[in-house]
Amino acid sequence: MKKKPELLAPAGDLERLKVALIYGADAVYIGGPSFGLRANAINFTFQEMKEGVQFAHSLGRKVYATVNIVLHNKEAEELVPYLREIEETGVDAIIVSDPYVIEMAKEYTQLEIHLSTQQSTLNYDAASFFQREGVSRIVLGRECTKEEITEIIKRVPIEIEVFIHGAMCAGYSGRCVLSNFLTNRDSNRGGCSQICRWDFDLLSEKQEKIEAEKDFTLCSKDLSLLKHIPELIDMGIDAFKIEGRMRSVYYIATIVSVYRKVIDEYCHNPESYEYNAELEKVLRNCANRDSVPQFFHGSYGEECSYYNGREEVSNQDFLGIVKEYDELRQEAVIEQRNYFKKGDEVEIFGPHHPTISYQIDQMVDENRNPIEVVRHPLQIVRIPITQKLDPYDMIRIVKKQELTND
Amino acid sequence: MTKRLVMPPRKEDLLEVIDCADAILFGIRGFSVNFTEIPKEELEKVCMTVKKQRKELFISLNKNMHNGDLPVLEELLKQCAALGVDGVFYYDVAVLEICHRLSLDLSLIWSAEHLTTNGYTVSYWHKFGVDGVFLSNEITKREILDIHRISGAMCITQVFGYLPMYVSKRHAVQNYLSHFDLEEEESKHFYLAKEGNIYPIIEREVGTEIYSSFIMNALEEYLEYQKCNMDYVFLSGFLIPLDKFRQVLAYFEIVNDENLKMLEERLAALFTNTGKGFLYRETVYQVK
Repeated sequence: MKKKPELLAPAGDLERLKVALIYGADAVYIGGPSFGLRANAINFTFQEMKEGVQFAHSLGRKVYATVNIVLHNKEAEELVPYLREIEETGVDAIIVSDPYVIEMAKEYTQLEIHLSTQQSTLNYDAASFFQREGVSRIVLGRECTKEEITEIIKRVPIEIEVFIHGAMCAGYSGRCVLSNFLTNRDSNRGGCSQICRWDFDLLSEKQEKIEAEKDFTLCSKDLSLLKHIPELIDMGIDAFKIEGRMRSVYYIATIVSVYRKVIDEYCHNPESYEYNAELEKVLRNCANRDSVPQFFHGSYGEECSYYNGREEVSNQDFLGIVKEYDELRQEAVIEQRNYFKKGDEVEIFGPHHPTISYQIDQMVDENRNPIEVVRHPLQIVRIPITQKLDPYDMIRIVKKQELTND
Repeated sequence: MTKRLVMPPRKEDLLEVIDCADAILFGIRGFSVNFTEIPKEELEKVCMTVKKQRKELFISLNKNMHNGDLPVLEELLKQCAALGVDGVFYYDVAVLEICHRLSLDLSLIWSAEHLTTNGYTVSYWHKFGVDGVFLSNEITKREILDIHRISGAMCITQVFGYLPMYVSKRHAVQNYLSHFDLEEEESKHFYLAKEGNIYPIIEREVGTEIYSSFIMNALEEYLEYQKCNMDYVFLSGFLIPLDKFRQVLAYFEIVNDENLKMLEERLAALFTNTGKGFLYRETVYQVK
């Protein structure tokens, strides 16, 4: 059997942490009350971090905390007490980008240190420097190609983590402050307002508009290395990272379960492994964005960019989450996340059973009144189903087109 | 004494600006972003020209380095040391690593443009033998002065010119033109327009750069920096017409408390788009 890399998932809050781990992540990364690059995510209190760590450790999994902002003087002066509080929560490592955090963490804590992709480590000399500095793992810059990753692994005895899925920065991480200049929100301290997704007019050197079908944008397609998982495992990469601490539980459950399945299948039996294109469709439906391997094979041309026509549509596939299963009545108790109704064709998926196809023929509310539609956010409903479901199982709609195709 | 580090608009303009400079900065083509470049083959000649004028020469090797860049980078660093280059601007830690490995006698300037935001991290690098820092362009004047006070390292801050906002490995404009089957432009110099603002966007072999819509003018603050013994101020001629840049350099050379107002007015007459950037405006990162 092949050595399995760690599958590392994002978790914006306690619920998402539990979902990520239940669906098969080996570790999660979370943000604390401050010093993280997602200042506008919900993030964890120290108490929630402790609870999350206890939950993860009870499953034999790990939790890493991001302390990866670029410090200004004021934050630097508040750093050491914060690091001590983080250490108290029992997290397994911190993810840092500013080297001063490395220095302080080494001096005042026993925390294991991972170097954030924000440092844009793209070569073996930089990796060597940080390895000697006591960093135990480096999250490589997303601009690294397969050959470059391989050479770094060969030359530097340090754990290597790479991003395998999720949104991409259009620029080098840390070298884009468009958000600062255009909206006054500091991208390197967690306030990024994603200017790369804005439309601009492109002007020539003479300041004449260059006319095209669509406006200019820096927007990049998402990254997906699903097809390349066997290569990445064979390369000896230690950890596979999924981007997205602000993503939904549905997104996390879907992405984690797909990559878990592929990693497990390949590692258990590499000779008989076959790529399953259906899984690619599951990922695409979940994210509502195109994804490509980006820099992995060294090409990063127009095929990696969005030139709009792309609509920002929120995902309506996710209908609800199972809160519990009433074995006596053989009913699943569902919490609503999107509108659904009687007659809908759905799939119920979870980490402990194959995906179940199901048509909703009956539903009752909490007072056992029959209902036709579920339209209220977080509304609790019960549906009859003979197969026992588990908490955190999820229900998604089967789109008409998929039914036709199948 | 606060020295003026000057970057000519083009390499050909070196002798036109050197009289008003204490030091000159150039990037090396293929190894630098955001700076006026010279090909590596011309480094020796440029160095001799600058030294002949008894000025200092700083060289920027501030791109993100990939494995394939390292052998040439090593040669460039050796050459800089042999030529007595006064300082090397760097972004990627590989530069520091190579200098240590080869025990090169080179003064290194940490120039990780938007990461050089606090005095404690500057001190961290200073302990590794890094002599100086080129400060971020999106921190306040108060922070600049605090870093100068806290760090103990040589500090360089920009007082004139367009401010870099973005660097990418992608060729964003070329990709766009290609995607829509538009004719390739001979020039690699474009602009982005949004809500009445115009941002220079430049493509080079190493990727895409975007600059501020305004030209930083810190003539007044320069006087304060001098009083605080700031080590260097940086005047960038990148994208500035030579004749105007020469006038700007002349103003910075003669400015004092008495003539400041008059020179500010003259400088304002040269450009319609000057600004103070973040000198008096803090960025926010939590939006309630």
